[in-house]
Amino acid sequence: MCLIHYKFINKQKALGMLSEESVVDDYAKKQFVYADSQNAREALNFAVKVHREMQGRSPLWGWPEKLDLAWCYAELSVLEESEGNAKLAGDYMSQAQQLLRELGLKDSSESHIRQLLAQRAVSSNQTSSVEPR
Amino acid sequence: MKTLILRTVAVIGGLFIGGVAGGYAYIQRYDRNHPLEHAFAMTGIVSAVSENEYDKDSSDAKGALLTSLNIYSSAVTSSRIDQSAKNAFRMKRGLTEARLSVIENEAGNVSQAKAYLTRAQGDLRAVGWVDTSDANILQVVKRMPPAPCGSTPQNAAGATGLQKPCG
Repeated sequence: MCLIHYKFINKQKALGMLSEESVVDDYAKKQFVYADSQNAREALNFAVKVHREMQGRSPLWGWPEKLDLAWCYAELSVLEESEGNAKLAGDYMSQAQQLLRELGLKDSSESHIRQLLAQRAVSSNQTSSVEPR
Repeated sequence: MKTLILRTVAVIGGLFIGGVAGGYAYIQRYDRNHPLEHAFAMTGIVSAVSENEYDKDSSDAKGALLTSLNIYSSAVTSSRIDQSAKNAFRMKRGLTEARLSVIENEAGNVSQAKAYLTRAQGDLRAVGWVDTSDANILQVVKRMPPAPCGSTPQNAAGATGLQKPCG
């Protein structure tokens, strides 16, 4: 049974965790662009929760997942700011800045992150009629 | 001598069959007890294959998308998966239905295409999408040529110099 656990179950578990992060992150990023504020907020918070859980559990967790987490915080910041929650927006932006600094981003200023986020929104909307947030 | 060999073969065969059956049962029990990890492991593989086949406009795309659709539908209706994860699967299902609608439309099956698109709109509306018009949904699932590794990045990850690895 140890062999089965090692050969199949551990690998399936690792793949499942990686896929869970990927699906949930893609869901959150799409919700940010296409859904209403409440649903987008829920999806982004769910993605942050999953990323944080996987950070300690997933054997395949690495910097690409950390980058996804950073963008979740940055998008949450933009979302909260558009809803008038300046304090919360600031907290999320700080989290994003911290993570991006850890990943080696040279300019982790808020204005630069916003600029990068706008590029992401434009990229996502290149084929869409929905206006970026 | 012959009897001894037959008995040995029977014992070895029995052990082998027992081992395979036990291993299979063990994996099945694990999958039953960890539905979310199992669902996501399946989704990861199937989703990557079906979306890639769709983007390549391959003849296998429809079959792969139908397999994806079944997996997403099972996840959406599962009582052992929480609501947030179900919403993620519902969005994936909606986009898969939209892709199937495109394929049916290209094959000239207009009524089937319309039926898929209506279901896609229902799923995407359910997860809070603001614009669920035909035009918007079809733009979202427009075929994308796969970006070659090392090409100019179009997203902010690339703009930061923190481009995610290929594969």
